[in-house]
Amino acid sequence: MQKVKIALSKGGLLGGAVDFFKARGIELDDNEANKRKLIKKGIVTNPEFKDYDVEFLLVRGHDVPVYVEHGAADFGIVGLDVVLDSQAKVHTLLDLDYGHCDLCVCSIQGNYKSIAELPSYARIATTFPNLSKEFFTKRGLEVEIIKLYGSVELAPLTDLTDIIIDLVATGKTLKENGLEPIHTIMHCTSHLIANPSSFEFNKEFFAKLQQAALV
Amino acid sequence: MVFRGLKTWLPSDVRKQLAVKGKLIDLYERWSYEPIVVQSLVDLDVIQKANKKFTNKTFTFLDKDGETLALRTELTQPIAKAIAGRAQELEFPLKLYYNASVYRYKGSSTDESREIQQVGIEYIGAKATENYSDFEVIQLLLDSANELNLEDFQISITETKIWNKLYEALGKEIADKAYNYLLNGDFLSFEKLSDEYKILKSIYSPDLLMKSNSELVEILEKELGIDLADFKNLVSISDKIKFIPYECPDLELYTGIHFKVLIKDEGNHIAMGGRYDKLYESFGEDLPAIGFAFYVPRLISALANLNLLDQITESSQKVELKDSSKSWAEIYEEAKGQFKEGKKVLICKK
Repeated sequence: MQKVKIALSKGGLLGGAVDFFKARGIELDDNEANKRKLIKKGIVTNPEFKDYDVEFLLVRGHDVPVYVEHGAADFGIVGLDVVLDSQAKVHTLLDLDYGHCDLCVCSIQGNYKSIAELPSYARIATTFPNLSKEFFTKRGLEVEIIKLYGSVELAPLTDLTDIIIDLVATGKTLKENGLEPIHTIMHCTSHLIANPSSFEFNKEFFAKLQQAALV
Repeated sequence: MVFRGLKTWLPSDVRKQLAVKGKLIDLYERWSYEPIVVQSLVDLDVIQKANKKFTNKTFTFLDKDGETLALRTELTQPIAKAIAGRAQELEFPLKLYYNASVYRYKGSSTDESREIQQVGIEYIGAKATENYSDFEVIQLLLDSANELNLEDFQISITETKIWNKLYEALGKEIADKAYNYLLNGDFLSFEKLSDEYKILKSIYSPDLLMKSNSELVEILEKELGIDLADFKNLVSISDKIKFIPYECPDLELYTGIHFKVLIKDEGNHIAMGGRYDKLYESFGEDLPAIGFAFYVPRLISALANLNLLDQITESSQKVELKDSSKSWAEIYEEAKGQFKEGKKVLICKK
């Protein structure tokens, strides 16, 4: 049996990842006894994968590229935004076409209508410091980036920052907190990534995942 | 203050390093490689001339004459400079091995170490087809793995001819784009680009992933119109050798084959090398060369994960001699007796 470890992002994106593997004949063993376990077995229902011992690691979204880059997981599923911001040396293999959202610059409603209106040295709260820095550097704008780990919407409401850069799916949370998107940086979906070295030993598994999708 | 990426190795670690390096060095000695030692400090020019990619990873110093010195980032370049400078008095081909550290300001993303121990070889003065030099070097990699009892490993290999042809066919702008997509692991953007430039599908497409080495060679010979006959022979010497056409060798340095050694379940390669027939030209000599380096800490970590270190790290039995009423001369005689039997001696308390 060949062991394959796959890191999945806990939270909102997990359902889509579980469905992706289920559709290919690998189900996440999520019975009551396992509910709180962070390593879950993959139950293989497709004979194509009978020689694989699949294990799912449930980790925080931003940690998926870390596990994959270090080889603690062979593959991972996570948003493209997280992969790019991590700057991890991983292979980006498949766009899984779910978890659609936009990485946006957002302001308190009415404060700023566009990037051009931002003050010099604008303070920006985000969980994506590298993508944010790259975005403003390309435009030649000097900004101060403050990295947060969650509830980013709170930052401009408490005068911690002028604006935020965050993911917007429906826009409901933004609206409820009196914020609005003023610029879209990029569109994001969930992606399958792989450790470059592990990929070489697991190419057959990857090819079968793609073939199973075609069937 | 604790500085990032600095490590001290305690005796138990050093014992393992010595054992692993000893196995490799014994092997290279059997194939008539000779030891070489080059200085840690080099002209910055040596690094910049040979391989610009290390420039931002180089520790530099200004000496009192205003010259910029650097700590070596690789062994290949300082060896090339040293050998090229004395080429008139040396006989070629010249086969060398080294056991030394290199220094990098920024470690890799998965290992912050700034001093990295390497063991490697340089085979200088023989073209790919002369003296079976490419075969010998690849065989040495295979034998190195065997010496260390490695089983689940792979030598991922490619030929720079492939990228040279793609640059010729596509032009710099498009080829650069394709090369950088793959270098950065962005297979999705590469696939999109290859929908427009079909020739790129000959190096990576999901359909090629399960092809054998010889099938891949045939596809590339047909699609790119290049001769890979010698390469085909080389990749057929062991099933541990896997042809990876989408690998991105450093085209500023490599001119022929390029390879990495990977171990299953280890996130990073443990050795890398290739042929660099133009490197010596930058130091004023026309000498083809090929070589590789093992990254010792990564190798040891992999061997430890595979429970192979104990087999390699054999230690001779230690005998304790007690501090007693005996004279030093008597104790010393006793110690010499134990040495003759191959044992180690430790003088300790009564």
